[in-house]
Amino acid sequence: MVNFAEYFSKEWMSQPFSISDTAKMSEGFRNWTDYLIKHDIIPPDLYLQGLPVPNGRLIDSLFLEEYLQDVLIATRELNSEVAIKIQVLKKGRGRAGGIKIVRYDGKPFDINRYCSQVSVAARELHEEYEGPIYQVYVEELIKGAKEFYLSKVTDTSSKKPMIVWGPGGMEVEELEGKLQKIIIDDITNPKESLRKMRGVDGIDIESVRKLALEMYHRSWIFDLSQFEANPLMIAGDVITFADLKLIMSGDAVYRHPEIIERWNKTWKYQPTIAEKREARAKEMGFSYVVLDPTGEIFPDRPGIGCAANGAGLGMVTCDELYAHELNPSNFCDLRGGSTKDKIMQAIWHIASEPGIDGILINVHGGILRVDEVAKAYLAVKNSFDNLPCGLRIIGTNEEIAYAMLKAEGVRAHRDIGPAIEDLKRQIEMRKV
Amino acid sequence: MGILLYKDTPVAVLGVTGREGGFHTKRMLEYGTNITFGVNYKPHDRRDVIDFNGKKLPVYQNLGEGLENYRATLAVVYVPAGVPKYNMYARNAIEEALVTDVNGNTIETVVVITEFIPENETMILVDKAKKLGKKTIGPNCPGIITPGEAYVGVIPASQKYFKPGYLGVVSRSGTLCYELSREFEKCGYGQSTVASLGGDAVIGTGFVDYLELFRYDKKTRAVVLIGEIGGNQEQQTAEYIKKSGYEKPVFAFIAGRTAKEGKRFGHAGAIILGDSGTWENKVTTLEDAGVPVFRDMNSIGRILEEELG
Repeated sequence: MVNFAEYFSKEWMSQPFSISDTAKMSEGFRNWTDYLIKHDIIPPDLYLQGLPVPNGRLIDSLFLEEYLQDVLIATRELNSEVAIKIQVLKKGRGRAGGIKIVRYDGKPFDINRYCSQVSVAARELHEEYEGPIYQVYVEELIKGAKEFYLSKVTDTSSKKPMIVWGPGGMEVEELEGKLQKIIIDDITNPKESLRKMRGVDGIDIESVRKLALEMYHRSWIFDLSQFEANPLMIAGDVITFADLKLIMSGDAVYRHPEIIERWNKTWKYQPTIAEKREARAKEMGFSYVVLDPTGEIFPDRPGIGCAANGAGLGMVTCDELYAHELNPSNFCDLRGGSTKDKIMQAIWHIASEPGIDGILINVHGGILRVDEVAKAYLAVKNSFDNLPCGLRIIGTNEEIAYAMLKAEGVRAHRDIGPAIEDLKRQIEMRKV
Repeated sequence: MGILLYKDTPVAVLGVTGREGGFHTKRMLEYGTNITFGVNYKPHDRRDVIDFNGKKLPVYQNLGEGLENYRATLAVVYVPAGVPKYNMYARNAIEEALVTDVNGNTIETVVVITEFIPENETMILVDKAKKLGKKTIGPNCPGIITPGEAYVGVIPASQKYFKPGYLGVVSRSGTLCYELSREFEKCGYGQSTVASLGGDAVIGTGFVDYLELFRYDKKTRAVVLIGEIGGNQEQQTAEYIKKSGYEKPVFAFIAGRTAKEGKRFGHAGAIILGDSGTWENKVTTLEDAGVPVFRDMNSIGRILEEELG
């Protein structure tokens, strides 16, 4: 099972926080909550309330037929109309998911027939989405309601939380311009700013304000950088979150072991090969990104594994590789203070990516001592079967590194351009 | 001169007993930074003085005690983001630095080196600093260096390319500001101050704040901004330059020309979300505001020479 920390930005399907669950969970992170209460950011009793989400249950798609009947009987009040949701979990912002609404078409009501109807719909959903799907979520259908958009995000320019509110039901990009953006000026007293929210479509804004406040407080408790309800269904005075997206900020994951445990228990998820490799690298203690190993954009270009120290230098390295008509396949950040063994592991990791034609090591040692990099490279180079390698080494202990490399007859460069040229030459020679 | 940090600026090191804190304190003292005292956050560490190659640095168990005995106007934070076992949190150290006031003896600038501070915590701290009229730099930043005078953070200050001069350099990324400083030095331009923003999505001091500081610094004659993909800081800066009629020449370099949408390189802030975060958008907005953008490393010398002579 994958560690939740690796997949911090995965989306959650609308999973209800029931009253008992939230109460239980809150015990685990008393420190932070106490801190927030002390600083008047959340009222002390607020994290004990449930959220208005539709009734529903998550079913393993392997046992769909077996469980479906139980679920449908248990939720008899679903009134023979349900919504089926699936979600393909993805990193980053990629949205993938589907929803299907099943209405029972025969009379009188026959549970078996209804079950088969739902499972057919679920299978159809599976076929529509390419990614592996392990679970479906069956929930009650909200009827006769208007769709809205309500979310709490962080506004990075004002460095304040922001509530976004307006008509919804579509992708948020399409709604741009129709939405009200309310920046919470006073973090400890959001009510003042929330008063700026204006009603849409004759909706009673007071109840939406209450809900926005609730989302605001919860995003502090659960360290959410984004708490998005799209759509938010409003019918008269009944409000329901028909779909929720919660993104927990990755750095705060350690504070919520209960949620991770629950997440790991609930979700069945098989990571892709790239995700497995990234997770493995994180275990070893460096950050690693799989960029384009299959050469989707430039299939003819040689794939290069990159190692650099620092994210900025990594980006520039990739830019330079593209400029020299090479294709960066992956990128590994050798963190400052890494020693020989760790760097050896890192070089192994980038070189073992399938479809690699060469590697480029670009280090500008600050905290990182570059003689360690030279040592590591000399230790692993013989096991690579003459894999082309461009070395660009500069910084702390540069002289020692160059002396060592020279003794072994390895060329290294002080500038990135010549290093890439060198690498390119080696690749050409290898082809011949 | 330069900004924020001078030869005689008294500096307090928060987390001096830690691995990173100790290592870099030694280097800062060697460079000549005026470190007056350190603060310990480890419950089991009871040293009250640490010897760094002959220089004895007093260590206190909290910042207030230190400020009673010594002056410090800048604090640099090496405390890890969260170690529940020791009840050690960077946010507590930063908060302490912001609010402690011993008979008017207070910290004015807090430089946060710590990585992995949750976004929400940073938001509270930045808000608090703003209310108190103080400066926070970072989190997740490499520090500040005024070449030839002093440095704080994790910058490889002993490198020869950090040379006194008149370019003000501000960078979102650590290694990239070393890389470009080296390039400037090669072309014959030293730096007045090399400062950093930090790689996180929410940060205390942005490009605009730095431009405002450089504006009134006599030594700085031109400013170089080193940005990267993600966020819309560069666009806001372009707007600021246009609106304020910024007198000094400004140059820019943006990393991540070829980065794909949604991929995170290691900086939480450097992730393209929507159009405004892309390289193209940033470069065109900056060029519209009259800021020359270095397209690659090789063009740096040529552009600087054309504009500055």
